[in-house]
Amino acid sequence: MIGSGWRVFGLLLINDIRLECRRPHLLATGLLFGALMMFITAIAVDGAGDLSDSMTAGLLWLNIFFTTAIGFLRQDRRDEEYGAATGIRFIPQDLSVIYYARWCSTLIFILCAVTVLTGMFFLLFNRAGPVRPLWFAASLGLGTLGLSGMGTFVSLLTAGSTLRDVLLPMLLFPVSLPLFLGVDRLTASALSGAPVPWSWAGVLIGYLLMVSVLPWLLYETLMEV
Amino acid sequence: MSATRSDNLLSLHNVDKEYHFRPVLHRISVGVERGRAYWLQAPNGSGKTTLLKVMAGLVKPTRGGVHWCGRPITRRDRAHFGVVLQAPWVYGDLTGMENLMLYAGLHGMSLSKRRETAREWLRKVELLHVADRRVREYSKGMMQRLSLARAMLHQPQILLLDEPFEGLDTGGIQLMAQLLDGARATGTSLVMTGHGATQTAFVDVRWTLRNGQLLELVA
Repeated sequence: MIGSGWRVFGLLLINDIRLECRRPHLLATGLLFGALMMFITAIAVDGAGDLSDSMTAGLLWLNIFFTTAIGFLRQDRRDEEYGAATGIRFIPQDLSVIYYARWCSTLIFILCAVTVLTGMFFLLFNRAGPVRPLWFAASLGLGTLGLSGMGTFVSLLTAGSTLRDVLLPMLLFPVSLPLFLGVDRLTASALSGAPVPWSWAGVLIGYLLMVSVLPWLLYETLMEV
Repeated sequence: MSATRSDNLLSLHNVDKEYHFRPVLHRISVGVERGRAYWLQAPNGSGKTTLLKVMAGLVKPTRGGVHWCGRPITRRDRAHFGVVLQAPWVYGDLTGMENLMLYAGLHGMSLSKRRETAREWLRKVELLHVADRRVREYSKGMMQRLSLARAMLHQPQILLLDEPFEGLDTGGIQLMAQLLDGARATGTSLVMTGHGATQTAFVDVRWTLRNGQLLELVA
């Protein structure tokens, strides 16, 4: 992605942000669904008083996961409505540039949603703030980075499928499993102040490297199939 | 209908296309020469759109090859194509101007050139008065004209148009025919499809699809 690739990246990123500002598909739908789910979960567990830190962290990430998946589905519909997705894929460029632009824009929107959901989490689950706030913020940031990257990849791959609504969450969950295990452990340790599980931090970094590089190598080939 | 002539911009060699083992195109070998207009008339479901998609590289043939200027076609060659299919390939929440500026940018134009080109094409397709209206609010005919502007703004060498006159009123048909004839006069090749006989006078070659095979019609 050199030269004109950067220009196309910038154009697509600005276009995504403009479209989301005009009609907030990802943010509004995702947030509404996420807030509702967070509320129901909080009622179901009657606050998080008796739950372990690992379980509370898991509940937070469960909400973030479904919020993200719903947002992706809405975003895909917008792109397919008048066939714009095909038009964009027809550019005489390496297709991975579309992936990186979409990843970047999605990351911005999901980070906004995650910030709101995390605020709700502490409020509804009646929890004290994390013992290590910086580490907590880092785990949320890195987790969102990985989830938005993998979500973008799966979402673009399933975009042409009639079973997309089912395929996206079904595919996204298994391929995100290592990420979930990593961020759950890191978030739990940040909440409780337990020693940092460096092995899981390594898994998370490895996963992020894979999400960053693999689409560049594979996306073009996979889209041609 | 030679696929091997040296002046062919685009050529298909023994192209077969099957969907779920159902043959749609069968051993099609054809060449598209520079500056010529082709009209493919065939009923619904005969494979017209599939043929255009194969030509554009949007669909891979099951067998056979597609060549651009005598060599296998690559992604980079898409810069030479303008494509109008059933969907207009635009964003409903962007205005006509923003959509054209986006595509102009994707084709490598600078910001000032993008604005100038988009305005020029909106004027040509008589949509300048609705340039700042969201495309979602456009009528089918307006959308069709915007789609043509989107396909032509980067001055492609070949235009592939799937039922370009469908949904247009008489004025719209005349405008579109005039623009296409103008493009052909400057050396752009045109491949158009429709259900019936062409409504345009500038067509050089007429084809039809029968049982997946492309046949040339003699006037």
